[in-house]
Amino acid sequence: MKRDASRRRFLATFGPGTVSLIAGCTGDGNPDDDGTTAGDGTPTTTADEDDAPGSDGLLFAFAPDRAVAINPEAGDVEEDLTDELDPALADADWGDARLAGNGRMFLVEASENRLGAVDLERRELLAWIDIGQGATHAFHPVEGEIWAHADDEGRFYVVDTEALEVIQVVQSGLEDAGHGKLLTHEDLRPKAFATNTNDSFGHVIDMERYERVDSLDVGEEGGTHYAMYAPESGLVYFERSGGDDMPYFDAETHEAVGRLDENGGLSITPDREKLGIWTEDAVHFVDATGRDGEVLGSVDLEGRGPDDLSYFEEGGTLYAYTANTTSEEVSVVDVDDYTVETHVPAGAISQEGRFLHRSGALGGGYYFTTSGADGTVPVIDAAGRELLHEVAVAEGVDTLRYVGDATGAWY
Amino acid sequence: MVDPTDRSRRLLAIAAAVALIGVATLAPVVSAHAVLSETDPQQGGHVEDVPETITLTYTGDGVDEILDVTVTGPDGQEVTGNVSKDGAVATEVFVDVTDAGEGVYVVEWEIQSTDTHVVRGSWFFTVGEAALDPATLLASYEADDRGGGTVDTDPEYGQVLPTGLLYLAVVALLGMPVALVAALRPVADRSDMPRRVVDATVRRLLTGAAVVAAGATGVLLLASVRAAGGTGAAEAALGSRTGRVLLGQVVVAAGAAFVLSARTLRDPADGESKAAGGRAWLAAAALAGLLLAAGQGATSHAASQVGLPVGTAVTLGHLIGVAVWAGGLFAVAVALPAALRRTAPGDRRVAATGVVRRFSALAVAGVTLLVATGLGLTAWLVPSPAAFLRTLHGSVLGVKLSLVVVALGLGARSRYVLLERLDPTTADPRRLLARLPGGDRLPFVGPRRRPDDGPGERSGSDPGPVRAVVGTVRLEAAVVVCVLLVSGLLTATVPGVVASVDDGPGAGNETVPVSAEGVEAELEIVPARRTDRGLAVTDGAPIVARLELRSDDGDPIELESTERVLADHAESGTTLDPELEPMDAPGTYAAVLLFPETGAWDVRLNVWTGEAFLDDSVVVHNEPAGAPDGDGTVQGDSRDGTSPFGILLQSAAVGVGLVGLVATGREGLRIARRGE
Repeated sequence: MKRDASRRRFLATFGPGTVSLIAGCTGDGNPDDDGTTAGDGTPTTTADEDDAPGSDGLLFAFAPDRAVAINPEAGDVEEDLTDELDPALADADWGDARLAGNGRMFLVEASENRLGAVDLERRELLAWIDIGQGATHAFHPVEGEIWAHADDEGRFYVVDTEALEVIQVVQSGLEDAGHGKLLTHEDLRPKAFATNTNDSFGHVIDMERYERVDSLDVGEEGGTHYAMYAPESGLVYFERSGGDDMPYFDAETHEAVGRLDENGGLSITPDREKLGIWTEDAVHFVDATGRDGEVLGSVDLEGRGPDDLSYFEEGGTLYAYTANTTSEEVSVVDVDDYTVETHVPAGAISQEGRFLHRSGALGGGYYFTTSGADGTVPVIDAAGRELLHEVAVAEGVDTLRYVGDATGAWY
Repeated sequence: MVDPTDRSRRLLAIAAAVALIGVATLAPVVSAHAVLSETDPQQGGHVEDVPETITLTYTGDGVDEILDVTVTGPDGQEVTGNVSKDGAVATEVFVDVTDAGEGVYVVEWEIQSTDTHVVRGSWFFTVGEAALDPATLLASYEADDRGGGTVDTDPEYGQVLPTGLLYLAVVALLGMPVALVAALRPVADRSDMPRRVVDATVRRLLTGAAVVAAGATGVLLLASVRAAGGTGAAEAALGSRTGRVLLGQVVVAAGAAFVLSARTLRDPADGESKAAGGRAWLAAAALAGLLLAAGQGATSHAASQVGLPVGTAVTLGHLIGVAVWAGGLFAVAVALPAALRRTAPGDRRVAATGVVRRFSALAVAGVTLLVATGLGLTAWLVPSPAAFLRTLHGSVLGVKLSLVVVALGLGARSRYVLLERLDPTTADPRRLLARLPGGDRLPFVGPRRRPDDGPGERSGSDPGPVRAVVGTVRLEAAVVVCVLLVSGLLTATVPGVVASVDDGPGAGNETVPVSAEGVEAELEIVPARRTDRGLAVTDGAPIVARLELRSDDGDPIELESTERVLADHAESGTTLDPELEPMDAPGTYAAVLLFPETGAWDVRLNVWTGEAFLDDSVVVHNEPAGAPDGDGTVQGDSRDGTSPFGILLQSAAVGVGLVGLVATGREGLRIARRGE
């Protein structure tokens, strides 16, 4: 039974030096620090052997039949990792590729219900770990653990990143199914919020007790998908899948506070002042410091279907790249003025409706996204707003992970 | 000088023997004893709707008589419709079924095979999604622990004694006339031994044999009628091939008993002559023996194995060989002493020598035929050492062969030791060895005895050697009687080729150990089997994965969440994920897997116990029904062709046949030269 590729769609980014968002973070609160690099970009993990190639500065890309490490500066594949991961790799259904802060990267591969552990120094597969069915997202909410959500079961598999084994299973959803995400923040721990597209609730998870402790009612119909925490206001927002508006709650008391008219994917700006919400053809920015849900501005993308936001600051102005799903371009948005600055070609993404989602990430001065239909990874000069390379990987490439001074995490 | 007529007869006999030996060795096993080989729906299989008609297909000659077929529906109600087969003997049985909804349907059947064995078994199939309940399926599989081709391997004890006695009688009826004509009468005609005593003794023995045959066949016919449910002796007898054969045997035996009894009562010992009337009763006895033997052949395991004509012919040849040897033994053992008592003491030795020498030549021919055909039959019926060692049939055959060896040993003693004592001029094969360089120093080869050595040795009045010979012959005859009675048990037992095999999908299960800290667990796959490729199951048959969970302390572990078994088919990308359902036994869970594709499936546990995650996996090969590796001979494949052991036996049969033919020829020439 093949999983519908369109289910792998819910990706978001976060800005540098800000909150840990859905990605989950470790370290000193810098969501960019995945533990593999020091502040100057040198690897912090110590290689056992002097000749370990390392992965710093590389972009890992995953397609159904291929996995590679890309040198974005050179614009080519530095190493083909397909055989290393699985000599029989075919029709793989990749989910998230998550850095665990111990020199290891964890890959969700749903076609065989497994999580791969890769040593980034050696670029070697350490193990495939059996997890539940239909996994899409994986998170690194606490040190030493990866939480992978099995969508067909509605629960998280907690994997010890050192022992490489499942140590806990947390039933987050009310039923035994539903696509889900996990929201954590250093201010909230050990609490986390979990979503499930089958449950019209946002669930509260105790990560120390590994159990669901509360469920916040978001409405009578639909489910929940994206979630975002605004530290300045102490509010947690839940996107409703199959709903028209977006409720938000007090993250501490779990009381409902209000509802936004806009409902879509969520991403908070690095300064934690604005909450970006993307809908089918626009991006809206809501005041993330207040509890009124004031819409500060909107950017019309003219039906390009934005699917995530990656923020960067330049010359005192905050910008964001949007990865668009119904356009062969990504857009650069001026978040201060709520205008579109430019569009950058980024390859075709739609092929008979199969590739309906796209995300992006900023890292090392580049903006990366995928062009599944073309089978390429566009590498864009983030500052220059210019497409530098279209690195050929394989048809259906849809998962990326940059190792280095990253300002994004791939979901 | 050999009479041309005798030469023609001998050549004809040799040609017939060669033909029989050739058939016994070259005829392949076409199909097996009537065992259920195929069903539609498949045994343990799953269908979406209840079929209007189900089909049971049998191997071998197939079904002689349908004794009973009952189909039970999901609620325990009988849903059997019309039951039929095409023809008197058929390989397919058709059963109409009434639709009783989704669930498990159990088919119980009982038929009479053409080798008279009553064979029974049961199998099941499932209909609709509701049937794929692990508890229900497990119960069905556990009740059907040997699959649909279940064969009752217990001997039919009621047949043992009558069959053994029938063999005894047939051997006597066939063999004694031969011994009388070829060994006893010629010597009597040339010596002082009274022929009338010989004839009268043999006639009485034949009369007794015919009466025993009539009684034995009558008992077997009654047993057959009873197995048919007592629907009427005539109807049951005529309704099946077995019944018709048995009825015919009863008539023949009764007729022979009548003729022989009348002859014996009318003229017990006097007035015997060499006129034609003196041969009529002999011919009647021999003909009755031949017909009875043919009947035994037609209902033999071999006839069921390789087909009626070939199986009957080889079995008949085997019985003729036994008869020539054993029947002659009986005649010599009883008639010779009786006649010698009426013979002048000085002539006894010569008479005994002549009879023993002539009988020995017959015995060589008979033993050659029976051993060669016997090896051929064994190659068909017990085709492997495993079948020998692990089945009752094989064990009994081993006993029989041991007794045969003992009897042959006694016969060899008579021929090569005692006969020389009777007549020192008898050629001694040991002397052949003595002529070789150093041969006379061999421990069992003494210096050549000259005809005039040993005072008293050649005295015709010395009864010692005669008594020794008679005693040995009687002992040999007694052992042969045991052989024939054991043969009755052999016939009543399912052949090793059938009893030694495993049946189809309903048979067996395999257990996979599960390792996890703090957990003692076991995963059982039902039904499954081990092949050279690993764990295998049969395509179309749902399997049950049963998981038993215990803590290290042995306490059952109860699952608090929904857990599953995952099965992945890499080739097609198909994945199954049935939920593990709790069973009655605490800590036991089961899930049903019905693989939609053949090939290798990776079956993995996906179980969180609350303390540990179990993800052990095993590769299960889903093989089409009838796959050659370990799918059980219910599907017929593994019994096609001849096994290496069978080839060895057949080769030995050819060797024995050739050696025996040469030996028989030498014995015949020797007798001809002596002018006896």
